[in-house]
Amino acid sequence: MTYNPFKFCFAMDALPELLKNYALFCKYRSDALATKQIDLSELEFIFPTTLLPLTDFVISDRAFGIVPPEDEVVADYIAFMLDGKPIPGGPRMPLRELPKDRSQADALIGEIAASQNRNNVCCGESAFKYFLGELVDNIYEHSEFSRALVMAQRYDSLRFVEMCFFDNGLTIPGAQAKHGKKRTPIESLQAAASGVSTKSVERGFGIGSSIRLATEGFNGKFLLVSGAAALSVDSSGGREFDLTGPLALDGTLVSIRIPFSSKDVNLYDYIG
Amino acid sequence: MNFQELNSTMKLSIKQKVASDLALRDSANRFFDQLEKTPSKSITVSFTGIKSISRSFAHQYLARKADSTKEILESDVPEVVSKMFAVVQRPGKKYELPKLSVRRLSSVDAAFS
Repeated sequence: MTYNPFKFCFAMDALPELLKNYALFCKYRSDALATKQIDLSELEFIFPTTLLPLTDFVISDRAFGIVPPEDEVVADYIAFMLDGKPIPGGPRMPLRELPKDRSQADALIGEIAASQNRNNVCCGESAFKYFLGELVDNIYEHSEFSRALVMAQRYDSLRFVEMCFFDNGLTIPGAQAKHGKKRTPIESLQAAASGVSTKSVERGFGIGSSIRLATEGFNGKFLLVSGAAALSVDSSGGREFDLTGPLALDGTLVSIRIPFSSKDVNLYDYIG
Repeated sequence: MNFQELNSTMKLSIKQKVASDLALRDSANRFFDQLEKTPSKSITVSFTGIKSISRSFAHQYLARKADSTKEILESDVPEVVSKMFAVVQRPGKKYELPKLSVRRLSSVDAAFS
């Protein structure tokens, strides 16, 4: 079987595209747990939504052998995304860890924006940075992570950017359980997206406003996987997925795909 | 410290103390922790050079300002900041997630079928 995400677009019509790419990570993870080997030999293309959680999986347990892609371009791409030195303003934002010291996060947000929204290809600077700021702030405020990772790629020929954030923290269902909320994983994601804050009624705008801005303002696709639940939203609507079992994630993954656009986005129309 | 210093108005650049992009709640908290340690009772926060602000930062800034023992004024506030302060002070409805169908994906094969 050749692992080509573009081919999966046709083979798995029922699943949203970002979720397909997350499922591809789950496939590699399941195979690795069974064979102690991550076989990337047939890989023809890989998006950050697959590569970022796979990277965390490898970092977490180095007992797996890794068979690199036979395709040298793909192998070089992965090598760069895992260990490359970012070129300022370049389309690739290789793996970075969110700094434990929050005072250093502002610089990373600026770096992501400079790379992915270069020349405002997606939207105006303030809307893009607002979006990144809310996402990163949510991770720091709620996750209690020991490791949080980010990876992004601007696809100039495909005319979109894909940005992924992963953290190995409490998960959204876990954070709500910690605050005494008895909800299923699906209910937990619904509550978080609908603005039910674990901290106060004045808060809780972060995830919901991010989803709305990404999907209605940027006309993009938004995937949230946390624990045993996933939420996928795009301009055509949203779907939820119960991932109890081998597709569950020990952490939270947010993946966003934003198309290039010539229009500026008035973010205040979307953040309530 | 003399009486004149205590009663003078200090001017602080939030860009210099935080960043030109105001993103994290924690950054707002650190800014106010510094501000509370200054001797002046009255402080003017200059927003010159600010390019973006998140809702979270704006909310935390206004919450800390309301709780502060100092008299805090803002100057040179760009539109991106004034609009965000207005959003926080007049919160609208939170995002309403549409009613969604739930699909169970119990196995990797199910995702690929």
